[in-house]
Amino acid sequence: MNLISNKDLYDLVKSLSKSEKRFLKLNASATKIPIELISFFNKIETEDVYSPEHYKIKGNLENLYNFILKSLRLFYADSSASFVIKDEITNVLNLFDKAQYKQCRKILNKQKQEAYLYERFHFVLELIGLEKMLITIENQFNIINNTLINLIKEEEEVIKKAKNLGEYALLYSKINLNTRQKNKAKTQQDLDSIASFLNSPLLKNEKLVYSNKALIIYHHCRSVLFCRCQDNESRETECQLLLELMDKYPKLIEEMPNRYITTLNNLINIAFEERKFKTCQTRINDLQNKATYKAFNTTDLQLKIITNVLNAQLTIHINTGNSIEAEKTVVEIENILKKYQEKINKEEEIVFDYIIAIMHTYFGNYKKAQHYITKVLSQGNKMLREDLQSFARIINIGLNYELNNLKQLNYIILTLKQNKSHQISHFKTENLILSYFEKLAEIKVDKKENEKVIFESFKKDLAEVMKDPHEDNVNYYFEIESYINSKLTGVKMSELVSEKYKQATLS
Amino acid sequence: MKPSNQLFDLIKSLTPDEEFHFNNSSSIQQGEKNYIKLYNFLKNQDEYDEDAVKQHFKNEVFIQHLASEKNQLLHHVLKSLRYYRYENSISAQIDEEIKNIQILFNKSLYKQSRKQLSIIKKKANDRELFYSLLDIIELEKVLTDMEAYYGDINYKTIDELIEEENDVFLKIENCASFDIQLAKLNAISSKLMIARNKVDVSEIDMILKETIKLAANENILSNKSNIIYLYTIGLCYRLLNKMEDVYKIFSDLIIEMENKPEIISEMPNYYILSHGSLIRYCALKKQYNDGFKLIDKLKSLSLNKMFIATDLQISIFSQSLITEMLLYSYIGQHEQAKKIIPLVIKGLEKYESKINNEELLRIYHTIAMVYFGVGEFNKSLHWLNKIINQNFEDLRQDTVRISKLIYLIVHFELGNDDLLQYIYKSTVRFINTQKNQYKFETVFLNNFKKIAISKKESKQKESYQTFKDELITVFKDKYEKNALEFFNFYAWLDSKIYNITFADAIRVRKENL
Repeated sequence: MNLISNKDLYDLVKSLSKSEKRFLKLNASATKIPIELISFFNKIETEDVYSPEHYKIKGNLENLYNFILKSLRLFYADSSASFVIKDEITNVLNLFDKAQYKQCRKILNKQKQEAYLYERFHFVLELIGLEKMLITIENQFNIINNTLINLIKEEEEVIKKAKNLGEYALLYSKINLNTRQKNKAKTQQDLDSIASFLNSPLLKNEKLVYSNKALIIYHHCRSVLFCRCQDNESRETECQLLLELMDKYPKLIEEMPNRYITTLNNLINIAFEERKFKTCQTRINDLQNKATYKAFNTTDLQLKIITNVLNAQLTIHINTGNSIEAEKTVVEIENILKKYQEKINKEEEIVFDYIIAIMHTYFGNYKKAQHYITKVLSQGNKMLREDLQSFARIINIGLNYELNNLKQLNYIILTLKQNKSHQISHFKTENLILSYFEKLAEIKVDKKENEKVIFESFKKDLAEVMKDPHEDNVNYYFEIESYINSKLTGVKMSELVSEKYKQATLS
Repeated sequence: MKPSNQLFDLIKSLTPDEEFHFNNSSSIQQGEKNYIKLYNFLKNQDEYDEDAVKQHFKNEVFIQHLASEKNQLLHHVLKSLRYYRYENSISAQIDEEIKNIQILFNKSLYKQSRKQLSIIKKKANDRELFYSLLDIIELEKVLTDMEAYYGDINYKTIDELIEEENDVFLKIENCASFDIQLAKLNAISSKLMIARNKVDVSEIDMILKETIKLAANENILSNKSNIIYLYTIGLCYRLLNKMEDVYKIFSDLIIEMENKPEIISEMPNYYILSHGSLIRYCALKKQYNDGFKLIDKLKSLSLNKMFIATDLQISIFSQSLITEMLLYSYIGQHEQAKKIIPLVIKGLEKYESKINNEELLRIYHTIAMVYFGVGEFNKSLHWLNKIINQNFEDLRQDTVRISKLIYLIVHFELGNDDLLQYIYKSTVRFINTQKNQYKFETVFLNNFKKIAISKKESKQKESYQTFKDELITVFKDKYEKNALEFFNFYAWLDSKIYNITFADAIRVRKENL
């Protein structure tokens, strides 16, 4: 069954970097690949848009697709640790087959050491499997390098570590799933759930951690949980411990590059949440500088770095009232979104759209803000970043209010109230905002002059609700206090926000 | 790996196909290449001679950094072998294709990565490539995680993948538990071809029971485990000389593998060795035609790409040619067996340093017996000397001990009377120092002394008959009788009693039995 589609081939060709294409062409001329395949490749390469009519010859499609993959395997043969180890394992097998047992042993020992350094437990197991064969032969030649009993003990130990790593990976996946649905804890129930994770045997302390890779996930899990319960001090400690560990064993950066980048991004977020914009900028620069690391030399990781950096920069520009830089960043974001289209995941897209909507709201461009808020609300998956979607609905009400879409407003408020009744957890502030916009919508129709009175009452009630420290988290989603003050004073919201965080630019 | 004469060995071990592949892949790079010059020179050397290399290339600049040039050559040979393997082995192809999953993932082409993963995972599952499966599951975890960001949750969850991974670990551990049983048995079989006393029997019996219990308690979780299990049980029966069970188990094993040919390519040596055991059964059960058919089948395997590896070629070589000689010897057709010897010697020249001592002992012993059968005692002596003069330590002491007795017979046949007394004393001393003494050895040495050392010519025939009678008595013990597997003492004594050749005596005995 042929599973490769025309579009697959097009996407693969389009994903190639200049150096990859150059290598592919060199490889093609050296291996005497049929000329029609290369012409076909050149044709696709020049296409700006995918046009199915160019892909009529089925055989060429598969051959070209396989040839590109083969070239890429060759291109990355020496740069990917797992490819290198895998090739060396093939060398061991070849030497074994050729009965070159001494050479076989030399490579095997070296690769086992290497696989242990990378904590590639599956490769270690594969090498132990080969060593079992080798030992049987060595015994027949009276050569004793190891015993089968020792090897099987070693195998058990490695399996134990691999299983332990699996347990941590599973735990992380559960925590991550929860976090992707609701980022910050909103209720006592949320806090209890976080506490139960933190007190679980695997996360309470490091006693059950059997490898550095598991330790990395351990710190990562804890940092995510501390993030959710807004304990930024502990969160920062976990992030720093994780980075220290990975910097100490750089091979693990190659092994878990995503976690390294995520942690750098977490540190940016911590600085932002702690209102230390200077530190935040330093950490953004740090992440940008590390983009050149060999371990991050893949499209998905480069993209992750770019999106994290742009996201953080836009957030800072918004909060410092720098509209010119913010607009420039939005252009960059739009370009990235256009260039990478399907490669940007939905979560990143939601985050971008949400922040851009916030930016336009703060700068008073309500029409544009509504465009992005609609994008957040129409993406389909209600579970994905439920926190952002929830606030997007509230902001949508505010935007409709500002844009005088009064007919829709009542309907939206009604729908939202129904939704809230099904929502498991939400901030008290969310309800407050909802109830005040209900009142505001009414008076906007009847007596517009009473708007100020309502906002004053809104401000008073908000101050009361904000006494609950968890409610302060609302400001990460939307500066509601600044919005009310703007309505009361007539000063632009962006100016009030930048004034509020003036001190933050100093640290 | 540092290049030394190991590089030379590697080059010499290349098959014509591999050489062709190497030359072809080297021609991709344009211009003159020093490593190719070096390769061509080494390929034509009979033995590694670095001085000759230096002399030959004395005018070349690269000779000043020969070590790095050899390293370069080694790198290219290994690389060429890897690509040759990818083209010829499905499991190697699967490992190579796993890289595709990673490459497509790194390019954020997640859907394509998933497509490749699904195809490759099925292939790896079918072939029970546990280690490849672990790699694939590892990649699948990352992919699943990424797919969740796109709201694509149509595939296995992380929980399910971890369960799947644990299942693979269980299968690996299951294989390992049977591996241990087999290793224990191999330790015994390296010393013995067949159980020769009750201690041996109880040791082998214990392993047999443990293995069966293991299969009952932990189940056999994969086809690979099943093959190791069957092979272990079969080997137990072979050592216990329970030939009907040997036949049943090894036939089952072969059928099992032939029903799943992908397992043959994963565990080819078990397939070869199982045939070897069946041939022995055929020989003992006088099913000679079946035995020769199996030998032909084994020989044909050597032409199959699946068995192209040198270690498998060696295994086929020893299991087919040696058993063929044995089979001819069993039926007294030593002349036919002798015709095979040049092929065996050719094989030995090619592989001798790579054949393990246990197998070498068997080969030397078989050739010695064939030459004995055709009456070429000097040649027989030459091969026996290889056994006796070499220190095989603990390996196959049964063969070494019996060879020492046959050594006496050969000297007797050659009329080396002066030497005989000395060798006899030395043999007695050797036997006396052994841990387990066999009654048969005592009977042999006592009677041999009477006929060979005492030289009572007038009563020679009577002495042979007494010798035979005493052997008949001692061989009533089934474990003692196993000595006949190594040398047909009855046939030798008959040849003396009835004044016929050793081969004729064997034939007569076969007809009468």
